[in-house]
Amino acid sequence: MSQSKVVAAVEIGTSKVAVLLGRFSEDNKLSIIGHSVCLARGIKKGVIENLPLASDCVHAALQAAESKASTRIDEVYLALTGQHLEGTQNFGNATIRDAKGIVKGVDVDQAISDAKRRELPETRSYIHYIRNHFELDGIPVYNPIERQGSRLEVSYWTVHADTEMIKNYLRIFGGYDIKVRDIVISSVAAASILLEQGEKDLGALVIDIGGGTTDWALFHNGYIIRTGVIAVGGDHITNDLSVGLRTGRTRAEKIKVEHGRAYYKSEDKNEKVWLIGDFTIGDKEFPKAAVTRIIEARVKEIFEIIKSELKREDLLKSSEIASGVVLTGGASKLDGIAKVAEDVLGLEVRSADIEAGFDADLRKPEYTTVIGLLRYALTGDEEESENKETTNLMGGILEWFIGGKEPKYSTSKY
Amino acid sequence: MHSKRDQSWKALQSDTEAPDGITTYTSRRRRWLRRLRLSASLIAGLGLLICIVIWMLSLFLGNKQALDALPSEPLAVVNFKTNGVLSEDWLGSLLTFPPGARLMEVDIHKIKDSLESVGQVEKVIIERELPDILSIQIFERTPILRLILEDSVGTQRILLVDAKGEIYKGIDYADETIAPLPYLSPFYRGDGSYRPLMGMERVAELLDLCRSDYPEEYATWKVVVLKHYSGDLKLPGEVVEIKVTENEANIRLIFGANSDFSQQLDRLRHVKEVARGLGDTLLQVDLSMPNSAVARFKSGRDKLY
Repeated sequence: MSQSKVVAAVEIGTSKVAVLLGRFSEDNKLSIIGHSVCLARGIKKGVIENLPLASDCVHAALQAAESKASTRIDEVYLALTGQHLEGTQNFGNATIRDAKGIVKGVDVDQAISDAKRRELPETRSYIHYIRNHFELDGIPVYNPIERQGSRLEVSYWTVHADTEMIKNYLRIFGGYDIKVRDIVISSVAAASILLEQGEKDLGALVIDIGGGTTDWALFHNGYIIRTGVIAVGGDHITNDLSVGLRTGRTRAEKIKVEHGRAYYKSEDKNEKVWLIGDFTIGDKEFPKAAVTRIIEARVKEIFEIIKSELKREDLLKSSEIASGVVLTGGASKLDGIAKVAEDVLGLEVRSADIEAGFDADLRKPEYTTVIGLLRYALTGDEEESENKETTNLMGGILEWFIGGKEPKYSTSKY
Repeated sequence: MHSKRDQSWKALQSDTEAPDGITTYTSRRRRWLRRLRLSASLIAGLGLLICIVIWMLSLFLGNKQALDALPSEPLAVVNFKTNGVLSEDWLGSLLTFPPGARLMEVDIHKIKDSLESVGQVEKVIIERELPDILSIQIFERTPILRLILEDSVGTQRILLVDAKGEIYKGIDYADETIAPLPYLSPFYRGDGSYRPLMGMERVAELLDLCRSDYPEEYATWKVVVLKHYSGDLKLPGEVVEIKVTENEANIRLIFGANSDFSQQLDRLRHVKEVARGLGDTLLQVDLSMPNSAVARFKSGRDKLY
């Protein structure tokens, strides 16, 4: 970047709308110049259910951030989540045309366009094309150009979303006279700030447990090979407590935050938890075991779903996820959640740790996605300016996730 | 099915596909504030522009009023000065002032342009000396050569050339001034035009030096030939040729434009003395070679000095 610029990152979650304005200085240092968080309304499990209500809270958050930063936003980067997100793996191949079997740019183009040939129904729109490794005669290669072989194969992990859902998001920002510069799925945005290149190379799983959804992204050999969203999050734990303890959601949330633990211990049988804690009318006590058993069941369910999705595709191998699992998102603050994840997934698990340099109130798991999105904005833009023909989403993602290892081909567009 | 390009979410944001935005109180307020800010900026900009125009107008009018307020009286005297030969009669033939014209009403810029359009005039300075004197100072060109132009019907006219290569028609010059000037041949330029002549400063140096240090020699110089002189002193072999008439004999002198003229003139004097001693008549002296001169005599011998 030749000069400092202001970028805006927006995460519209089930429980909150977060807006972060950052300024990138000439030496690529990021400073937060404004941020705002509003309680989300009209959104359930990452899906907009009440457009005017959702617009209201997003616009309020944008206005608050603009006001704090004393600047005007013209475009935003948006973190997307929701069960409408789906991913598919596409394969493409090409027979090497050169008589001596030397791979040229045209062969790479052929394989890539073959991988992208799949058309979606009109109700779906692509969000990401994420290229995985090439294989030359069945052998994985990083850069096939000028290598010798007879058949080149490439695979893509593509993420697509419900078209109407995307339109709803665009309508929200359009109403505020703002363009959406890029859409990035939440797990990818979170991983951009949580994982080092070396961790991506060794293999890592990022799990972002939000209010209404849990997003995950699996890295292998430096590439994103799978992403997923499950429609269970921290709000479901609150809901379970509310039903199980026969109390309101607000009190259930309070109990979860103050006394919750992700797993049951035998001493919980004897420990009591007060509903309100001030002995007023309506205050009552519960055995802590009731609280922890309810939470444990739901937390286990979240990891079991992820486990089954990974197992289904034979991706849950500790040797290929050597960097382990990184937990983030608001619900990842739950006491003992890492232990449950370790027990269920059989992998080493750690909680997110955002690098120093951000305000203490932003260095929390619930802001990982929006901070990561801001970081992504810088890298994505750089990639775009380097190669105008690159689909900027793809280029930006790859540039960030493989740490600039994306090979440059003379005629490639991907 | 739409094309592959259209499958990206970005297509949904294009002008044709973009869905209508949802407006809220906040967005309407933001839009309103933006319009207000834009209008305020426009009004402020317009106001600034108007202020600048008014200020400039007042400056202009103030100046005009200040000029009008000066104690200007009807023009009484035109003070004419020149460094050359132009006369007051010539000036009078060019300038006319309405009777009773006040000094401040005289358009001095128009007079200046009119006078500077005369070829012989290089520069004019005009000053108003209040209350009623107009001072006109003229700097004239000084001729170093003359040339004869002949039109298609054979009518000849004599023009003059100054040290800057400007060609102009001489006015009011005495015969004694023009008669000693050598003629110039040829006077065309490579691009078809003939003015100004290139590199005349260097030719003027030669002529001035000869006229001041060797007046007898200068009196014999009849024609300056620039056939082999482009005026570009960076080029090698640039020579200025002089045709001399001495004792009814025509001598061709060749001066190197890139060499020292003083030394070349000294060598010329030496060659002439030798020629006189030999009792032979010179036909050509080439002084353009370094530290030497080649003389050709009527007797047929060539000699290097």
